[in-house]
Amino acid sequence: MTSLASQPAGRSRARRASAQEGGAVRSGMTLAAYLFLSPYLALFIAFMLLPTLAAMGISFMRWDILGAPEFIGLDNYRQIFADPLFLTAIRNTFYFVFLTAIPMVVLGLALAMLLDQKLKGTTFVRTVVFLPYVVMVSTVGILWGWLFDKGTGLVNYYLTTIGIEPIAWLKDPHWSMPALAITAIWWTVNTNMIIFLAALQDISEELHDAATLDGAGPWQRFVYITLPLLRPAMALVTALTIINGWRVFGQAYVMTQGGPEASTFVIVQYIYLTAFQNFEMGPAAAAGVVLLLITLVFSLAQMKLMKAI
Amino acid sequence: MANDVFAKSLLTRRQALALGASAALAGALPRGAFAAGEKVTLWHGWTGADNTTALNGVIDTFNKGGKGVTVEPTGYDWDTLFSKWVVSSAGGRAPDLVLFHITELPEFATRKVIRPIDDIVASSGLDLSQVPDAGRTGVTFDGKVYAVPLDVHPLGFYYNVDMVQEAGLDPAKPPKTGEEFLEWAKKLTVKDGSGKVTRYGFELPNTWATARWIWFSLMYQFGGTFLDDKGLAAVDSEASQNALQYLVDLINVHGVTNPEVGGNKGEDAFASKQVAMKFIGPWEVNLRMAQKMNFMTAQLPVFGQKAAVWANSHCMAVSKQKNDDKLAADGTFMKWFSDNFAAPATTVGIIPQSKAVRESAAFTGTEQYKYFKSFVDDLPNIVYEPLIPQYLSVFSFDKPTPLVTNLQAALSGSKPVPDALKAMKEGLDAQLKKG
Repeated sequence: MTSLASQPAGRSRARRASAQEGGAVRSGMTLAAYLFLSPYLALFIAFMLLPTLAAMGISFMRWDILGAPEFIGLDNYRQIFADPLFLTAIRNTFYFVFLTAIPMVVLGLALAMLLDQKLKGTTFVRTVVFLPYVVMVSTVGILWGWLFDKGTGLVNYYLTTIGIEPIAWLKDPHWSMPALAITAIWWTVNTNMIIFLAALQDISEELHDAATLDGAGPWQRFVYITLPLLRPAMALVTALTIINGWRVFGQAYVMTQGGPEASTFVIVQYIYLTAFQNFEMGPAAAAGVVLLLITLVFSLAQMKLMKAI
Repeated sequence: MANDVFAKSLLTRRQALALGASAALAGALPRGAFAAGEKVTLWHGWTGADNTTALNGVIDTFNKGGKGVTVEPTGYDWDTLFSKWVVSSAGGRAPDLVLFHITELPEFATRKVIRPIDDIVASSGLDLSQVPDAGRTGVTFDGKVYAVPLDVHPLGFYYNVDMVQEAGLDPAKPPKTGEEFLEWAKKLTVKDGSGKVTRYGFELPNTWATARWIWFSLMYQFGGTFLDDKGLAAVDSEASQNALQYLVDLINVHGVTNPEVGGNKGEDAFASKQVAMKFIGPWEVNLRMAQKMNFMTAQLPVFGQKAAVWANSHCMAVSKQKNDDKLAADGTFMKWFSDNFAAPATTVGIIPQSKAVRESAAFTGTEQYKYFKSFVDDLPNIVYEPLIPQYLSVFSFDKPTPLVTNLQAALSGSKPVPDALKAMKEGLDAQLKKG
């Protein structure tokens, strides 16, 4: 009996011992993980987290950089929401997100599928498609400024060859934002492509082979195998595209400076202008917090989606 | 033997010379002597490749001149320069000297990032009497001189000589009145067989500051002013409306210009022969010469009752620092730069403020001068934009300010002129009342 009785006790001791060992290993691993993360974490805290927290604080202050900050409660938030230019900026940025989100995801996927084929020259084409990513935004802006020119631009040249009248892309308030969206898609669709490409290459060939044996055609394989397995990548790409869309600045600043008639004036330009040209750090920080909240909603939605998947 | 002396001492010959020079200057300058090889930092916004090379070349000459001061220039685009400067000032790391436009001076003086330079002017021997009254007024704030006015750059009239000749007009007799200008503009506008315009007589782009400068000039020509005597916007006045309506009519009634042609960065409607005439500052002279265009310049025609032409000016100011140790060195460079301004002025394409420099052979003897001359002739008619502390937010040309947005709306036809100017006044007044 004793032996019987002692057996479980002995097992539990052993379990405890192994749990302790496991705990030690785990805590060692946790420490190692933090050590590996620390260079990034240090930079993240210094250049992202602390400035973000500081901006939140500044959003309740009146401060022109040179003087001492003064607490004014919610006045900055009241000021920006009463400023028609801020509301225009929100509207314009939303329009930009609307124009870019779907094409960026669909085109990114289409390009990835195309470049996932094992054809001659695929590596070269992949490089060509990815190349715009390394070009600076000012260069992209100036380049597309030329391409969109009404009189001498290539875009209008091709439009006229198919019988369409030239469009003053960057000078007509109706066309300026679509022009910026086209530029952004050309410039950044490749990052979506890379994520999709990686996800595509993770899908086992066997699944496609099995489906083919069962008589599934290419469209059925795409709908029933590729798309479901791409869901996590899709959620990530969609969220990143939308968040980056809300943060658009460079193209608008270089190509149209927010014009014509404020048609491409976006939230980040509002923040930049208010902070570094009018030196009103409070309202600028408040606008930054509003932008943070908008992007946070999309981040949370993406995290929720990822969990559901 | 002399060599031995220098070899045994810790000084190089240059340092010794520099020390000697600074010792000689010491008595005359505020705060006494500066150390040999005193470094002075200069921030400027002349960022084009030619401008930077020209400016660096001039500064190199100064640095090698044995004056005991070494100037280190850094160029930023104007917007970056201003934000960086204010932030650096807050952090106690402001550059010693900064080059900007005189219209921006009240803002920087109000923000206290620059200091008055009356003492430096007196001690360095800077001769501001050579500068026209308007230039001196422009650098004076609260009764104190804050900067050295370097140049003036008024709007001018450029025309393509080949096109003018082809149209049967005399390039030696450019239009002097609004009627003559309209006649040229009509004759220089070319249409194809289907009636589509292939070339406009005049460039009036909607997307850059040019339209604002032209309208501003015309507003004063028609007898208006930008601000009223209370310091609020007077842009809805009859003169201002007539001036803007004249420009809108050039687009819609006469069809001699199109606000969608030219203006954006990288676009060059004048060189690509999309337009025959344009109004722009002297800074395009070198570009047009490099393009080997057959062009000529003239004074702005008088469209209203009197001559008036938009202008601005660069000036050099001293950043406010924790101590005044470098004032003598600052003054040495400022005087030298002002006295030797003919070379950078020619390369950048601006007209020296100093009469002595402007009339010197170093400026009038250049091949550019035949184009600069019309700008010099227009100097008595120049009008600076209002010198107000809110200048950067009111007059910025690359932001959707009330001024820019409503001017664009009037030119594009999305708002009638009176409505656009009424909305502009409301927006401007809100900015001006902000203080």
